[in-house]
Parts: sequence; structure tokens; C-alpha cells
Amino acid sequence: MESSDDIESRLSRLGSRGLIDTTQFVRIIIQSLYSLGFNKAASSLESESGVRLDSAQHDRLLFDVMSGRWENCVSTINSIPGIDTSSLINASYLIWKEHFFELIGSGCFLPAIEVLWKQISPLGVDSCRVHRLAQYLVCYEAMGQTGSVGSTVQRRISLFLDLVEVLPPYIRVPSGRLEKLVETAVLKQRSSCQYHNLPKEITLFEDHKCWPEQIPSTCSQVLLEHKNEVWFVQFSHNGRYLASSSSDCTAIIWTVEDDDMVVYKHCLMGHEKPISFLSWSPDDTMLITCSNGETSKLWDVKTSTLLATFSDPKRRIISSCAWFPSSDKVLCSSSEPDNRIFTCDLAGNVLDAWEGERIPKISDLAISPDGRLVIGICSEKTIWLCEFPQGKEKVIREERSITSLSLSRDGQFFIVNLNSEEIHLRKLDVNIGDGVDAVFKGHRQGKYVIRSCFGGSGCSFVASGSEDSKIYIWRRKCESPIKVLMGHSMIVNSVTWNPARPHMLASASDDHTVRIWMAGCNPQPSKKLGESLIS
Amino acid sequence: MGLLFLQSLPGPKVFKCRCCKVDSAPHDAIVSKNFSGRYGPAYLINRVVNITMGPSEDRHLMTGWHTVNDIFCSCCQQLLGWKYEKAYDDSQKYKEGRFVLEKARVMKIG
Repeated sequence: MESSDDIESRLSRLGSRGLIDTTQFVRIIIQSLYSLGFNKAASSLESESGVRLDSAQHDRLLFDVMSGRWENCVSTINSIPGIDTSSLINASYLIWKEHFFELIGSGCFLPAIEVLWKQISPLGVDSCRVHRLAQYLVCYEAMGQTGSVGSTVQRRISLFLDLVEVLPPYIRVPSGRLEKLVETAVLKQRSSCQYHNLPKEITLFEDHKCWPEQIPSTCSQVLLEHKNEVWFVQFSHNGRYLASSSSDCTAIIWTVEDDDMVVYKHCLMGHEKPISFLSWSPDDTMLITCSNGETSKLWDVKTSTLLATFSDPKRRIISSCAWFPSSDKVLCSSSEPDNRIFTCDLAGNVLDAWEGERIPKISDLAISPDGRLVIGICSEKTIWLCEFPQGKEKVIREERSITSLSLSRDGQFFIVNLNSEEIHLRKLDVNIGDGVDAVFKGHRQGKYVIRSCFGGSGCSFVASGSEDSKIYIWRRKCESPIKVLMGHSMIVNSVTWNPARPHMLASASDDHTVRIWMAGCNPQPSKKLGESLIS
Repeated sequence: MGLLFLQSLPGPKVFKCRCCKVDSAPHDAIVSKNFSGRYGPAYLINRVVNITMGPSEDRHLMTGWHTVNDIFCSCCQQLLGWKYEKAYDDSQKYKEGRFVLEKARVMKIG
């Protein structure tokens, strides 16, 4: 690398900490100018700063490769200061291999053998490669398969590109280097941003920072249609519908309009006991409601009609159910008087059942979105992972009782709520160890079933209800909540985050209401909002 | 009231609340059958489930001063007995952390 008088008169180090070498900085600017197509600007920058994009060895090597002077190439490479032995060997190997192929291609077999003996073997590379080269002497057609076809010029150009990959990076600036450095910085800012929820345009002019208002923070609607405690809410997978179930023995389907208002659609009546759980089919056309101590019912969402009732001749209670990804089969777990796990189709016919002494009592069930893993909460303290239908099993013991289970949308993680007022996050994999990936604390839970959910863009947040009538939101990396939402007057049983609209959250509470919470600002935050927050 | 989280006991013999039939205690957690509670004979038990505790009180029982918490079934709020929090007599120290379950308020299953 040469530095001329022009650059010595300027600073030789840039940046507030003096980490950046000016010559290297100018070189990557020149390189990105060339790659953007501004050749005149790039060459005038080269002459003005006196820094050349390509080092002298680079030009010499290019000339030697293109003209086929192989010995000169090798001596140029040997003259590169600071090159380590393995790169030297690799580079020499590449050069001699090209020479070898060219000799074979032009039919000079004896010189080719000489090259193989005298130059390639002493290098000490992997002997399989050397043997394969020897094979090409015998079998000429095999050369075509290695991809070393094309004209001599093309092959030499590709040899040169391979060489610069092997040699130290200062010989030739790696392409796209400046873009890569900027991208790394932006990604780092984005990942350390605490409230990053809404996909925002990344701007290079200022550091990326999200305001707390970007996660749902204000209550925009209070839905009063239920006549008793609301125990469960869930958005559909496409985010267009919301279903809520209550101890007044009904479930209500709401539509989420384009302007983010939630409108009453239909009430599903027919159960005689409080409905404790409901589940959307993966294609969002059907809904299953499970009630406490009674049968489960299957409803069609569009027409809100009852399609089927899953009843059991032995009058077992179906405690929870999960859909298979194909939306045509359901996995159910039931108990009392004996424990049973069974799959059934949409008409209620039982397809497969597992029952007997070994089957534990499962209180919560879920299937991963790709249909391969089943996860269940057994006997309150054990998490059971199983590859479906036959496969590896994994049992994880928790210290305290587990009240509920929730999967992330990508099927990679799950969270369980414990009676000890903790939420544990784990990876959804049969091969993992027993350790917890993350723990979230701060909410209150002791007597009741409190449900939590993943949410936000990229599922980077966890939200949970609580017995102190507040909603707690955590960032996945951090144990304490980043936001607490107040508004309900009694315990919040369940929360659900809209998968399609990361600025919308819904919560169900014993005070008979479902509340919709919205992020304080629109998906395009403006400067004005920032100023109003400060003032 | 929300959806109550009810634990179920696996063992063959359990005690259930007489009113609402939720599991209260496993039979093998009994320490002594010779206790007497407010409503008659009672058991001293190591472990109970599905209960809520009342506030701490100082009470003078047959065996001396104790600090106790009343325990109620979390489902129907029936008074089931009490928990010994602190005993002021050295001979009564073994009771600390254990529960008294009134026979009249539970029924044995199995």
C-alpha cells in the first residue's frame, strides 16, 4: 500500500477513536464508486487522493495471469508481504492447476506430467486432488465435468478471481465491502432497539430508535358484548378475525376492519357450560370451542353455523385440542375418568387413540405449524415433546405447576406460564437440553389460569395477562417488563397479539370486557410525534 | 373469578372437598390421624392443593399458642382447616409448615 504526500498531509487516522486508517477508508470508497458505475468520479478520487484502488502486486498479478506467465505469478505471490503459508500453497496450487489444464487442452501431455511432478506434488496439498488431476491425463472427457471449459481468457479471469479470494484482502478490496460495513451497523442498531415493533424504513441519517409508543399502549376499544367473565381471546392466523369465549357459555366472533376497528360479527351459542378454550383452524375457516366438562363443538366461521359436536360415549371431558396444519384433523386430549389422546376428523369420528395407564393427563396441547412436533403439558409439571406420529420424545420437568402454553408463529419457541409467577421460554426441539432460554417475571399469578402469547413483528415480544388486572409486555431478551398496560378492573385472563398487525393487541378479563390496545403512533412515525413526546 | 387452575392428584387415594369435589390432599401425605379441629376429628397433613390461605392469626389452641392461617378450598371457599405457621412451644415445632384438614369437610376417595 502506498501513501503519497497528499495523504500524509491529511490525518492518517479517522473516527472519534482513531481506529480507522484513512488509506483503507479511501480505498473502499473508491471501490464502491466503481461498483456504482461512477468511473470518472472514482478515477478522479484516485488521482486527487493519491490512493490507488488496486495495489501494485494486484496489477502485476493480473498481467501475469492474463498473459500466462506462470512463474512470474508465483514469484509475485511469494513477494507479497505478510502472506501465510497455507494461502501461499493454495494460490500456487491454483496457478499450477490452470497451467496443467491448459497444457492438456492443447495436447501437450509430457509437459503436463512435468508440471504435475515438479510443481504440484511438492506443494503438499490434499493428495486426492492431485490424484484426480492425474486422472484427467488419462480421461480427457472428465475435464468437461469440472467446469473448466470455456475460452482461455474466461478461464484465466476466473482463476484470477479465485486467487484474490485466497490472498490477503488488502491485495484487492472485497467487493461490496462498504455496503457490508454499513449494513452491519444498521442491523446492530435495530437489534438493540428496545421497542422495535413496526417495520420502519431504515434511514442512514440518524441512529435507529423506536419510541415506546410503537408497541400497543393505549386502549382504543372496549367490547362489552359478553355477559360474564371472558376467559379466552385469540386472533385468527390471518389477523382478520378475533374470537372470544366466556363463562356466559357463548363465544363471539369479531371482524377486524381495515381501519383497525373491531366489529361484532356473530355469537356462537349452544354450549351449556362456560367455554374455556377455543382454537382456530390453520386456514381460519373453522373454530373449535371446548367447554369445561362438556362436549366440544366445531363451527364454521363465515356462516357461524355449528358443523359438528365432538361427544364421547363415555362422557369424557375434552380439555384441549390442536389442529393439524392440513386443517382436516384435530388432536384432542381428554380426561376423567381415564386419560386419552386421540385424533379425529371433522365429523367427530375418532381416527387414532392412545389410552391406558401410561397416558398422562394433558391439560394443554399444541402442534407446531409444520405438523411434526406435538407438545403437551402433562400432570401440571411436565412438558412433553413428541415427534408425531412415531418418533423421539422429550420430557422436561418444571419446578412449579404450569398453567398454560403458547407457541410462537414460526414454531421455533414456546412459552409456559408457571404458578410461581414466571414465564419460561424454551426452544421447540426434541433434541434440546433442559435449560430454560429465558425467564420473564413481574406479573402476578397464583390461583388462576393466566395465558400469554408471542407477538409483535418477528415475534420479538411476549405479553401476558395477570391477576392484578394489568397486562405485561416483555422484550424477549430481557427479564423485566418494558410496558405495563392498565385499564381492566379485574384479572386479565388471556392476551393475544394480532399476527398480521403488530400494532394491535387484545385482552380478555373477568370484568366482562375485551379490550383492544393499539400502538400510539401509525406505522409511519413522523418527527412531530417525537417532539410532542418530549414536550 | 377467571378460570381456576386446579391441580389434580394422581394417587389412588385422595381426599376431596366435600362440597365441590376438587382434590385437596393425597392420602399418603398424612402425618397423624389424631388431631381435633373445630368441627371434630382432623388429620395432620404434609401437603394440600387447590387451597387459598387466609391471614395470619395468633390463636390459643389446646396445645398452646400458635400462629396459624385458615385454609379454604379455592373452588368453593369452604373452610377446610388451617396451616401451622409458627409454634411457640418447642414440643410443637414439628407442626410448622404442615396443615390440619378437618375430617368433616373432606371425603376420602379410593
